[in-house]
Amino acid sequence: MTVAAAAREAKPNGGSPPVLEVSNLVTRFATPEGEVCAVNDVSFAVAEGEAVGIVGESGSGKSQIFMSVMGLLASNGTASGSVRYRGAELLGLPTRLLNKIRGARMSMIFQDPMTSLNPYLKVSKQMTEVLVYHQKMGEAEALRRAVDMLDLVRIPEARRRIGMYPHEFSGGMRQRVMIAMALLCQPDLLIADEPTTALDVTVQAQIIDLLRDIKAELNTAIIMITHDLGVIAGISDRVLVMYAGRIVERGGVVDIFHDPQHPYTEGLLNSMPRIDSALVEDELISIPGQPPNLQSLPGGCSFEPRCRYRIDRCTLEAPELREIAGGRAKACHREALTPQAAVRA
Amino acid sequence: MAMTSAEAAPLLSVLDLKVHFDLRGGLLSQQRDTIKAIDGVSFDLAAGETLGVVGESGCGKSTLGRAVLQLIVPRSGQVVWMGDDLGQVGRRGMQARRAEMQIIFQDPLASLDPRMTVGDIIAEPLITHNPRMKREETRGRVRMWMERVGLTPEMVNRYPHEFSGGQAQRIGIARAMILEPKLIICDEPVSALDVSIQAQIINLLRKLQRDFGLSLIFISHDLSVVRHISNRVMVLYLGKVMEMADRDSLYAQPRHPYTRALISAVPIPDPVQERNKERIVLSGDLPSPIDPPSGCPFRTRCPVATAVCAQSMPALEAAAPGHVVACHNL
Amino acid sequence: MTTLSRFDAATGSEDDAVRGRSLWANAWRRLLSNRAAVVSVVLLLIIALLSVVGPMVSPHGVGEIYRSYTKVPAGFQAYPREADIPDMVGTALRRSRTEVQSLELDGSTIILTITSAREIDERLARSLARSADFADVTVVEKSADGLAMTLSMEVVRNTFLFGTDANGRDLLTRVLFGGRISLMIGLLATMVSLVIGVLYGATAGYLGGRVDNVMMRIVDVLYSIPFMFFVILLMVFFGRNIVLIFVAVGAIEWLDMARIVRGQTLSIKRREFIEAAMACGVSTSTIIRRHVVPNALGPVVVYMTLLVPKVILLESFLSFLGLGVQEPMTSWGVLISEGANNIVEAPWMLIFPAVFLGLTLFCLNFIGDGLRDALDPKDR
Repeated sequence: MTVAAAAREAKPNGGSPPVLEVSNLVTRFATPEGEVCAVNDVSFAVAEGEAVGIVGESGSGKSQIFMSVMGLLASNGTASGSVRYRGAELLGLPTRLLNKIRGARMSMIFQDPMTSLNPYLKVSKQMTEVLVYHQKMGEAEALRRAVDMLDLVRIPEARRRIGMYPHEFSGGMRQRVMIAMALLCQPDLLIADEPTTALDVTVQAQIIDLLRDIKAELNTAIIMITHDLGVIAGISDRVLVMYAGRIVERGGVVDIFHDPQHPYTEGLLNSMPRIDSALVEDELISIPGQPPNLQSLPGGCSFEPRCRYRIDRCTLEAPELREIAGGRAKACHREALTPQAAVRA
Repeated sequence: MAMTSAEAAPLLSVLDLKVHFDLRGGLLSQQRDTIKAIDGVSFDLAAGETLGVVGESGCGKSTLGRAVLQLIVPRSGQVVWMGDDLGQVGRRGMQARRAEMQIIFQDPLASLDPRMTVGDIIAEPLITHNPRMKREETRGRVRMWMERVGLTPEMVNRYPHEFSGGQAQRIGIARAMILEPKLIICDEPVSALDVSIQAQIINLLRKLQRDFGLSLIFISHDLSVVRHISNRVMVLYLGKVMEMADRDSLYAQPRHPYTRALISAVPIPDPVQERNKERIVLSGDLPSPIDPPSGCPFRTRCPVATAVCAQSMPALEAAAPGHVVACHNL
Repeated sequence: MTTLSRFDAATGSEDDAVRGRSLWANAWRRLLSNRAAVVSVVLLLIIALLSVVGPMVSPHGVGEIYRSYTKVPAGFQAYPREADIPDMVGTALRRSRTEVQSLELDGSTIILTITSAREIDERLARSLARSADFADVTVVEKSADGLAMTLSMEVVRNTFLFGTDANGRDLLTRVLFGGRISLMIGLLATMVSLVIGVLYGATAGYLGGRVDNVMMRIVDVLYSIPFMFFVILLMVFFGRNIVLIFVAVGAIEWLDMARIVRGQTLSIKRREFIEAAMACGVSTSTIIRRHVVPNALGPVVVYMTLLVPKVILLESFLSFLGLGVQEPMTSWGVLISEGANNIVEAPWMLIFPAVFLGLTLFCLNFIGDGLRDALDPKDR
């Protein structure tokens, strides 16, 4: 996809530049077994107040995009291309300048909140620290603000609980604390990396509700990274589907779920047992084969070995992400995924 | 007693099973906390049947599986396997019966010894139970089972770390199946796998079940998966059975408020339905199992709890044929 | 990141190598790419080889004393030096009442003409040959009156590359021989502690509960026995004996090993593959042998490479205090101790054994580091 297209895509009202604009991002890791390309020429943009879902399996590079964006890549990783926050380039920015943006203008929450909270510091200390550092607030004011935030994420008795240590919170409460911390400086963009994967379904439902409310109330743009299509369906406006480091399909959430245009998206949707189906399927329609091995990707399309629509061209040439009707894009040589087009059942 | 399904003699009957763990305090403290991981669970399992066990983390569903296999010694209650109380058969007797009941695990890689080759891992149960089996025959069986679970036998000398999660789970299944057991306890067998691989493994389990008449106890927090694979489903909350029913009955007409909340919380991979569905949002989290609420353990989060719920644990009562519920406020 | 060595069944099955790569093989490969570790292994092998072969091929015996060459400095100088030869010959002839008339030196061959007031006895040649300094003494010519005689003889010339000690023994030979003892003690004591420690630790850790408690309290009690006291006690009861040193060192060092293995076992015990083995009905002893010990071995191997230098140092320390190996046997510790006493007049006596000991310790530590990185790459 071209950079111009990426920019156009995120500007429905043609106004201010997108909150986040990633163009031609490539993230590589040097490993003893050779170089691995975890993110391969990825471009997209996120508009103000928009919720973008990024779905993909392990090794699809979905998390590494945002590790690159936040400057949190492991030491053997390098990112190239362009990442702009409201038009300002972030890649290659020195840590000191990057710190003014990350944590303040855009924040990230992770799957396991316990790893991002310091177990030896009270929650109050960890929360006020951010405000004192980024917004040069006084301690008392910062504390008041932190309590407000905990209220906002619906932690009961926030005033009392803020003096507790992270381990005194349950898993769901910890994730709420993380979200509260991420929202302290009123960021424009909240990046949530599998925020509900470690939680129980009932708690997951609470957190998704919360994120939806935050988006509505604070107009915060949210990027939801997950492997769970159900979570994506509940919260996103637009969806990016990733496979083996590339975006393979992009589109509005209803389009993606009701009319998948890429064989991988279709396969993912088919392989999930549905709790709402009238009849219980006898057999699930699985995607054959194994997840891609980034070290030895096939020559043409990465999905080709597992694809039921493959044609000769797929082994020779990797498909570009191309615009299709309805403001969508897909990286597939085939035009329509009809049952007649399937090569193998 | 739980209701029995059609057959007269079930393969497995669990009667009022209790598994408690004592938490030791400090060196000098006298106080002992007890976690009642499983607190009075009863059920029967017929040959060829799949019982789904659902519940949130900490509800005791994994402990239940291990207690059935006597990997954890129950505090009280009985596990009756084909007419024999497993608590009474002694070490020898249990050892012999282990060939008939196997387990597969959540984290497929962690369940394989990283220092052993795949062939050795799959052969281990065979060697343990048939120490005199000829080497050739062992190898032949290992290869046959590798093929049956969808692995190429050429990989027999490879090591677990050379496999992806889905393949590692296939190895785990081959190891569990090589003695052709009658029961396999599946402890969250697909939760750690990618979505596209989950379907492969579930299909494989169902195929093996059909071919060998296996019974499965399928433990999972994923209600969609459980619905797909189970004949009957048991809902656990803090070690107690809240509801147990045939699959269709449970999903179509959940009676217990907890079951209803669980089912309504499952995200549906369809944006229109997901956003328009009616959801029962439970407040709060699972209470600590060390200090569970009095009476019904679910009352602290229950939308319909009344005063009586704090006083006594409701008994499991039949709400419909084959459908038992433990709730005061039906 | 994802697992990097994923095997892709869909694309790679045709030319799939049947052999898998074990974790040990992987570790070995990583070790080979660690230059410091490889250099250390090579150096250590050289030192070990020299220690084993050196004393056998050396011209000097380990206990051989050159009374005339005590504390000779290190170097390529051959002894006796040319300038010293006339004096040496004079000394050798002192009691024969002869005088040296001429002395020609050609390489190490001396043509010696002596005169005397009386007739020279031919047995003089034999008595010269008997001294350790001369060989091949032959009478070339004897005057008719017997008052003069020309002798030809070889001077035995010795080279002491590392010099000699206070007793006139060749230091090179002794350093290499000392290496034998030191390395042997290091290896054997480590093996003793390895076997006891691994079995004890794995058993305690795996069985857990009360058994573990009792077994580990025993370890604590043994820990509290002062080591020196223990060694002196052993010496008093059984006399000084090299075997005792193995026993003493091994008996102390297995305690650490047992603790390490127990800790490893505790974490391995909770892994699911142990539960899988239990569910299969594998017996406890087989689980320990087949699953626990091989998986605990990584840290054990690392600890072993660090234990060997520790034991060598311990032995050196004992020897330094005079509790270690006994003359004429020697070890690096004994040599260093002697060297320290002669540090002013004969610094080489300290330098050479110290260099060998230091090199060995360095190598072992580098190997240990390399192994740790190789066995657990995530820790880096």
